[in-house]
Amino acid sequence: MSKSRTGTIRSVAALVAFTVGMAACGSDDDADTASDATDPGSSVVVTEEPAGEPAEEPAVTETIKIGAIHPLTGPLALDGVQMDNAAKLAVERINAAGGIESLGGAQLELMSGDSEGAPDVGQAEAQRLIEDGAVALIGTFQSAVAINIANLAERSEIPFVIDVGVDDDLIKEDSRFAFRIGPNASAFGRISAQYLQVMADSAGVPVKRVAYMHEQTAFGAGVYAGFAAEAENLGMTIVEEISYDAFGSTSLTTELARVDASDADVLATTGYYPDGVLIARDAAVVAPDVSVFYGVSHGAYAQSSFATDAGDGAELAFATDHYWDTNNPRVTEIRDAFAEAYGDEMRSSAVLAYQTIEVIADALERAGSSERRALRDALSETSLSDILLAFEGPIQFDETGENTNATPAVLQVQGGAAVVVYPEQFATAKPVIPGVGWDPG
Amino acid sequence: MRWATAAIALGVVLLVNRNQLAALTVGDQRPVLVQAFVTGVIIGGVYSLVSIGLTLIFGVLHVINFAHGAFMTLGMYASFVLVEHGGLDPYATLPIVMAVLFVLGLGVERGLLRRISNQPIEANLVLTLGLAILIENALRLAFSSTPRSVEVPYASGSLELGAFEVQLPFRIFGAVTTLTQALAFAGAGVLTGLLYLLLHRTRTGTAIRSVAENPTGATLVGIDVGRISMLTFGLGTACAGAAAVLVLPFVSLEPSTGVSFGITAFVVVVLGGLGSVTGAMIGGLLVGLSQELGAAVFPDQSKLLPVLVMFVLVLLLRPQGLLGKPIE
Repeated sequence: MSKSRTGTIRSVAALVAFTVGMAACGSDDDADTASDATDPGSSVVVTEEPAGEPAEEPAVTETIKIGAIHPLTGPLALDGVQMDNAAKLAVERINAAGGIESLGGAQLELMSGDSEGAPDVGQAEAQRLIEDGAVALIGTFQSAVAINIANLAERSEIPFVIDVGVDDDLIKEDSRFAFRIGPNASAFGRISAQYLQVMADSAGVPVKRVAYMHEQTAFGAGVYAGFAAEAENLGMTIVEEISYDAFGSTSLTTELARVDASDADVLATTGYYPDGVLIARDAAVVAPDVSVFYGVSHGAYAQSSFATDAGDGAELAFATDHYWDTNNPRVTEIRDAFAEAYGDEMRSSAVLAYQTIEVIADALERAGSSERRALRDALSETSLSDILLAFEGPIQFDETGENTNATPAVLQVQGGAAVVVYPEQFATAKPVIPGVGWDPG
Repeated sequence: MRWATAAIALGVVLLVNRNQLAALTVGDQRPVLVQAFVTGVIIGGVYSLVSIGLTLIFGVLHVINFAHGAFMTLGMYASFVLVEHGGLDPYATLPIVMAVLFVLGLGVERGLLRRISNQPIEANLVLTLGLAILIENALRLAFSSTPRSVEVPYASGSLELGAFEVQLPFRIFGAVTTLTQALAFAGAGVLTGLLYLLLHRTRTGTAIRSVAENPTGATLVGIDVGRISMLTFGLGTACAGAAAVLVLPFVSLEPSTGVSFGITAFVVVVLGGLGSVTGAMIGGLLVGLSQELGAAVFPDQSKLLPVLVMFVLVLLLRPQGLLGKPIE
């Protein structure tokens, strides 16, 4: 028994050595490939077949690993799992279409890591994925997790492409390996203020006085700062800034009474889902005398369950958010494929994750190499125009790694469903302004 | 000395915000204060109900129940399932959810806590904390993290009460409150009253109070301390269940929704005096009021700041809590 077992192990080991040699010869240049091939997760399958058999196979194609870190368990698992699935779907579809052509049809492989929503866990997972041979990382849905991984990526010299994560500080002046597809917090705030001004002007509605309610962490404060600075430039006045705890509040009627008393034209908000619902519900009760209800970088108002959960207060609520390009048939096809594969409606965060994989695949194609530094250089020269998102231009990164053309879209709840109303090239309906879901006054 | 420190602290807080305060007492800003007061009393009523369950359990079993908030979440999901799949009115689920949580409480006391009753206090801390994590994650597994909510169809428009027709939402001196919040407050008031009667007017209530007062003495006069402990734990979790049903119509439900109520309940219980039911009632209202009045005066601060300032001040003046007994 033990003797035959030793024999088997020996022959497997020989086979591994042989195939590793094959892989190293078969691929073009770099050292990463050889280390990939020895990894149990790589494309080289070791079987107990007689020696000589592998020689008949065609040259082994390379497998390029991408690490994805999202909250797959915990309170944010809903988005995290969607994003991970979207990245998997992107990898499958790229592989099915022939992989990375410049690398001889190299196949992509997604390695998933679970951040559990915690920065330290996310960082440990990123470390694991780097050690397992990832050539790039994507993630993370949360800024607090992304900031740790951004630092790690910089030290480890591995490209880190942020799908969702808005905190300005994720990308610093001297960042070389971090890239961000979507707008950052201050861009969200700034552009949202501009869009508000344009929509209000074309409707002839004065928006001079803004009352702003934002959740109290870096996300709410960062977006607010961007909005406030631009609003002042545009001649608006912030008459009230109210911060609140997004997850511990059971009533925001007192805060909304302040908004009502502030004589504001606009109630602007930044927050998460439960508090978004709470504000809309309580606003319908307190009925502050405003003519626009404007969510800035607000994922909640675009969610299909929002109108049902929030009732009357949801109607005519605006939300600026990163959103997919509703007019692009490729997006419709991908969202249908996602719904079929995972039985769930694909959210905008998942579309961003899908887009991120496409950006990396495009860079690999141009780099003609899966070496991390070569990939970084290719990423920095990205100019991708066939994109899934409602951005005002192609995806291009500035010298720090921010996408210079990342813009939010404006959605509005009309008749119980969120529709894109601005910018015009993406709009499927016209903005209704002035108007709120309650009877102001 | 303590009083002087407290007075100085309060003075500093008020001085820092004197402009805000001055603005709030004049003209069109006054509704903000009225609104804060109304909301504070209503939320405070709900806090009282949650906290009474917690303080009762501590008073009798000397167990610090970290799973209280999780029991509340469990009650919310029970109510949610009955409404969504059983077609019941959200308020009709109140007796069912209370009964379910009562039985669950009996089971937890008999099956888990009793086994470690002679262990040091850390044992029950860890046990109830573990239970809280277990419940939260089991709910996540069963219902995912998708936020849920129940609808009360008659909560808007107008309400016919016999000959009267009441316009909703209610308007009170320029402040507004929804039917669901008013019902939560009324429900909390009625249940608190019933619990008070149970504790002070029935033999079982007398037994519960005697066990809390002196377990050895209670045993000597023939009270079954084990049975009373079990009953008390059941009553405590049933209170969490009642609070769950009453707040569900105005919160979005996630597996961690009860956690913040649980934390607030600890503040309330310590504030009112550990083990004191009346203390928990007063403490709940105080926390609700300071949270909302704080939000009216300090819009750029967390609502918890005024609560914790008040908490520190009260503990500075009365370390045993408002109605707690000093340790001799």
